Amino acid sequence: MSDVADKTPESSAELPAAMPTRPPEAPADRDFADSRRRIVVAGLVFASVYAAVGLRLVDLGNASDDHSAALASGSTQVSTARPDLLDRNGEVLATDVKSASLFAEPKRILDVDEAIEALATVIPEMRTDESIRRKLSSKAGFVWLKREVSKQQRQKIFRLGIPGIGFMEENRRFYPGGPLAGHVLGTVNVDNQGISGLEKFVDHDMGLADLRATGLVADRGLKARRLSLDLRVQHVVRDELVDAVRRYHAVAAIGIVLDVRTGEVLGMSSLPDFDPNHPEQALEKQNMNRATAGVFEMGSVFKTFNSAFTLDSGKVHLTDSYDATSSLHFGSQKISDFHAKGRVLTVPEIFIYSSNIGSARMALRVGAEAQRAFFDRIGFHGKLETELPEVAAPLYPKRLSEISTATQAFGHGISVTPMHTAVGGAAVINGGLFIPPTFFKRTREEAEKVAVRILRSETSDKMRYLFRLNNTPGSGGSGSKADVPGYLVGGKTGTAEKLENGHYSGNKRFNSYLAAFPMDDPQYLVLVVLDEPKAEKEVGAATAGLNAAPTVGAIIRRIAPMLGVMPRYDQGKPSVASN
Amino acid sequence: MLRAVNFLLVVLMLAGAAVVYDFKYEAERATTRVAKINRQIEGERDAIATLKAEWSLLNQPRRLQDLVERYHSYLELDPLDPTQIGTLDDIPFKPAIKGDAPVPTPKGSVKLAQPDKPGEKTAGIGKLLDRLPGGTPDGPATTGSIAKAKSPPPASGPMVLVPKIVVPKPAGDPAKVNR
Repeated sequence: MSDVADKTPESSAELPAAMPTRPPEAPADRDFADSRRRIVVAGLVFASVYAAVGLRLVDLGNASDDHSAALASGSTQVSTARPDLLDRNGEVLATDVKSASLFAEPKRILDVDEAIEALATVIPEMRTDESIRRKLSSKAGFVWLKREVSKQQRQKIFRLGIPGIGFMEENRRFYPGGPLAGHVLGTVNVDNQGISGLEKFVDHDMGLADLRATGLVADRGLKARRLSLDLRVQHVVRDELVDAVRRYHAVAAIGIVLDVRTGEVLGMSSLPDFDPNHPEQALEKQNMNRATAGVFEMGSVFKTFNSAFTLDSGKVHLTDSYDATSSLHFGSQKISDFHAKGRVLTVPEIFIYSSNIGSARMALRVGAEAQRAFFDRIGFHGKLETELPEVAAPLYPKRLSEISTATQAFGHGISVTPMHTAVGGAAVINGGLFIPPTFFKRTREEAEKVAVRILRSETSDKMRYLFRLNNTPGSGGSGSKADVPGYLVGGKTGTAEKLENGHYSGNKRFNSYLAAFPMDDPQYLVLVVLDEPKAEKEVGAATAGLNAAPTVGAIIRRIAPMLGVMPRYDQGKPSVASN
Repeated sequence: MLRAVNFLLVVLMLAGAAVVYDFKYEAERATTRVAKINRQIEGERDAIATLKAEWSLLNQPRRLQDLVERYHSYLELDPLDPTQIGTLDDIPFKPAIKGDAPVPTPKGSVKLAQPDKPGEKTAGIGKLLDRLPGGTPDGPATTGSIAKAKSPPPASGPMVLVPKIVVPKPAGDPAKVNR
């Protein structure tokens, strides 16, 4: 269009120059005038030819951009670089590797059929793929034909020398550990944008998503992000869970290792899991992240929190006794004990024999209001915000009632995520400080800033005593199978019956074990949850003390030396606290 | 005169043109070289990234564990047991023996930590450091069940690493082995 505009002034400039020189008409000069006219005409013709050539040059100058414009539009679609994700010791958890992607510029393709035929000699499925044909016959400047082509294929296609077909280097996300930490790391899509887990968080946190939207994309040099995870711990947790799932034929398993002083998550695994190198696996429902996005009735593990808040209230003492001879009745509901002792139990006995009746009586002694207030403080009534986007909100009764207070005392009628339980457990034993968990590195000083006191430190001492007592071999505690000599492990079992069609099922269990070590100066907390484990042998029970507890023991045995916890043997019995 | 100036100017102009020509081509060559080196750097960076990824892939605990299990009959590597962990204090010191000659000071010998209270356990490296010779003013040089030798080595003197006579009798509490 601009060509036309250009032409008009140019040709009109030619004419006025010729006009004034035309001589007046005289019969004698007819020949002379004739030749002059011819010269003018010839001049005009030449001028227009040159003008045309010039315009065409300008035109070509502009049009030659076509190819690079197509490439530019393609490079904005190229998967951009992402920051590497490292574990706390600098080991690579996720990184970018370069790969080549095949693209085409349909405008430059001479013969679509020939191109497809040639490509099909390298990538056979292209012959039958209708979408490839459609893409190539389109008028688009740039289309992707295949992302992530192997090196050999790339070489072969290069040799074919098809015009309009090329390769572009792209970043591809690679997770060397495979399924090792799938739920924590999350996945990216084909354009290297985080769509779940920490990958998604990192995108938002570093503003990568916004940058991309404005078209500014860094190709490299993004600062690596260091997580709180420890690759070795993560491996041990997953390895032992895989083993436990196989041995006890469990449906699912969850394992969490926390630093109780900083709230850092050192390891978190939820089986079945997925390999983030194959993001489509993450979409399968069974592969969901149960550790933060699944809520469960945790069962007897909650007696930890029940004991903590009742002792903290000052109305219950370690030396108190509660009657557990007969079951408690609330209307048609009945609360009875799994390991019924049929006698009066002291508070430590209620804890180690995991007495539902005793726990319920303790909770009722202090009251529903206090229980609710404590559960509120410890975060059981809200989403536990971590860096992970996948978090679930707990379920709890909205109305206060005696029965709900009694059942919540032993972990029924309230559903929280295993992460809630682990973080709550850390608060109970670390001296009474609630520290929100994190998946990134955090120092003790930073942790102190975000910590909230929810229990008196004396209460925490007493709880540590109960934990250790429950784990000490010979005490009759339910956790003695989790003990690792030298590490002073303490913990609480939980064997919950699963709710099935509105009834608690007698043979489907949800077992958990909440442990920490060393109990005189707790540093790390381990929570293992097994969903529907079966008894190892044909005969025998499938209680948490027999499956979740040994799993915790195996994990601690392997991770404690890695984490630099010195074993100590000279301490006989727990002498942490007494009332 | 004018002719000479003109001639000089012409020569200067020619020389200038030659120099500029050379500069131009030098600059072009430099640009190409820079581009080439930049491309090389890119390539090396990518190679490093790939190698790092490969390194971490080969060092995955999962893989190492599988290898250890597979070659267990050769390597005989087993998981570490907590009982295998100890500190320097858990190692009994060579007891000093009556009649030992005064210990000469060997040249360039190694100074070892000398626990002052044999029965006490150390908690961390801090205490160990305190016990290094020179750290404590009057730490006894020997431990063990046997009474001090008549002429014990100087308190802050270095230990002799040459074995003399071994007395296999660590009766009593001090040189205790855990468990």
